[in-house]
Amino acid sequence: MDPLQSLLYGFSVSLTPTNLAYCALGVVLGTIVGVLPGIGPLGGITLLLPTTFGMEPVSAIIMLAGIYYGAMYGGSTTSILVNIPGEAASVVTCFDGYQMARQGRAGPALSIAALGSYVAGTLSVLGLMLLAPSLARFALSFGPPEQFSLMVLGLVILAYMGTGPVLKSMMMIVLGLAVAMVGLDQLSGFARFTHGRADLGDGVSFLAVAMGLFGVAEILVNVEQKVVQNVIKPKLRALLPTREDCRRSVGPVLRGSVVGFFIGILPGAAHIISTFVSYAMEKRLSGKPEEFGTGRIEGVAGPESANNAATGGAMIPFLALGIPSSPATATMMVALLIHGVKPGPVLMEQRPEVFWGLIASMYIGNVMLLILNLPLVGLFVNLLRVPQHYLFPAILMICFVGVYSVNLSGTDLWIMAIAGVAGFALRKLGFDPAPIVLAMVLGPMMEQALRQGLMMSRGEFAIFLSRPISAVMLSAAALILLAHLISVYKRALVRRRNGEGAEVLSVERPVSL
Amino acid sequence: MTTPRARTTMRVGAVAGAFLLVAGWVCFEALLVPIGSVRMPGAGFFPLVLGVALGALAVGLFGMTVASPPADTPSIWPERPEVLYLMGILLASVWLFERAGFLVTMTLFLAVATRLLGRLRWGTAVLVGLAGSLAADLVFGRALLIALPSGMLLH
Repeated sequence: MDPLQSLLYGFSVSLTPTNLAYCALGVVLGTIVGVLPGIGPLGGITLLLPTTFGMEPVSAIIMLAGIYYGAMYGGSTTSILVNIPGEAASVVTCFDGYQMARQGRAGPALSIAALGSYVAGTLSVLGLMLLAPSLARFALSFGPPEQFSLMVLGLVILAYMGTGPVLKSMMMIVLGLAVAMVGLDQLSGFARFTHGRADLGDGVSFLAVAMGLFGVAEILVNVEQKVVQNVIKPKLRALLPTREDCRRSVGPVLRGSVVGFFIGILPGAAHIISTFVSYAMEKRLSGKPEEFGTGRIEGVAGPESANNAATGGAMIPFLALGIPSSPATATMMVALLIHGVKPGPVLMEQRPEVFWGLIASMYIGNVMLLILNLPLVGLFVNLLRVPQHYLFPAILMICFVGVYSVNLSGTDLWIMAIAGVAGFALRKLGFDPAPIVLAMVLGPMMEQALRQGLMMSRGEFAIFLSRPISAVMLSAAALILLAHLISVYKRALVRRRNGEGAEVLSVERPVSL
Repeated sequence: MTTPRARTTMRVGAVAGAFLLVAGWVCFEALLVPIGSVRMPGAGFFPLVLGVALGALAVGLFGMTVASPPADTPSIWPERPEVLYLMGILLASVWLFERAGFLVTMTLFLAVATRLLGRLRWGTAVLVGLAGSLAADLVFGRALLIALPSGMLLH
């Protein structure tokens, strides 16, 4: 089937009443998740993951993807109206969006954010549709050494592009890989780290760890900060942007879409980084960079487009290679694996309804978001008025139900609580716990690829360097690490020369991931 | 009296030490199962590599801090006592969940948490807890048919 035929097939899957309903539910829940400051897209996907267990795989992934890109839309609302990013990718939108709201132009800021997100989301799905099949065909030639090297490269990029210091991110990655080793060994059947506990035989519950790190810990961080919210209510009559607003936004939206899509493919905090890159680019291209931060529409249009385009980009490695590049796509991958669907190069051939159904649903979801978000912005704003002393306990209760419902296991609840407390402590110490989740998903695959590679070569590590694709990927990983070490060394030299202390190890204000 | 830099180095040292302990435990556990050889790696091979890597990174973290001490590092201790109380309520609720059942545990959890975070009166907090847990039981237990524990009291 050519891409157009495949896409039409995808529409026939996603336009069924059931899948349409799940798509609508996903984008609305995603918007709510994005609006509420206490919970980000990853927390939202994790919280709602158990509700998908009874669904068809295609419906489950359509709903979870809807939450993912819906949250990107919703995050801009709090940035513009409250000056608090609903999720990390909306931090940049605060700079100009909130200033516009203070000047009585919240409506145009919200509508340009929604229109830009729609255009970027649609363009990124187009890119996903064109790139993913070719990449999947290419990945069919990958053996265990290539798969291992690809995961090493992915994790190195994740550490390099993450929100925390590289060394700390690497520690989180190794910790996540170690947690993934708990349970029965896939190849030999030996029990590892279980201490004879049968309920740990299948490993540490991914959902419990993710819910602890991103549900419980997020609430604890928010309770500690006790943020006071001054919500600016937009005047809905003045919602539409002026012709001048539209004219000034066209370039930033298109540039943001391209930047976001390509950065989104890379592992790590791509959707966050893409917004900063887009903002910096718009500031540089603008004739009046000094006006950025005072309420320029370009400062909203570019970053909002970039973070939505990044969601499409992030789907490429996940769908085409079977290797998630972000914690959110890792959670979606777990959802598919629970349904017996393995994302990767053969997904398009073995389960075309899942692959093309998801892509088509993303087109539909973007239209739904545009239609829903603007008229309902007043309703979503009212969600911000729900007092946190009701909201936070309610979210924690959902965490309890969500984690318990999977295995009906009290052990999973303990794991969630311990992960929550550990996640809080890690954030306080400047560690970003997001890589733990991604590493937990990649761990078993990485171990299997390494061991199979070594068995293939009869113990020769050279196999990872003698095969061209694998060698290129490992060299790229080594180069990234080397470049980072050189830059750290240079910075330390400069600091020592100036007699200053090293960079502060504190974490920036944590926002929902 | 310790200087801020010395305090920071001590704190980072403690963090690195904690990670070293974890790394040591990972290595110890890895050695309990067959390591195998490079030709035929066993179940402990990859965990051992990870334990060694985590230990090396922890030493690297401490080494970098000593070589170039940061100006400041935050304390692990929560700035507001409510965080500690909430952690305590959470752990107590986990302990109670299967023993007392969903309804009892969640009523208590919601009541105490809303009282703690919102400074509500006890009467209001208990009403909120009761309403919240009953609504959740209706949605998750009855509508979505999730098997929530009934506990010893209602069993």
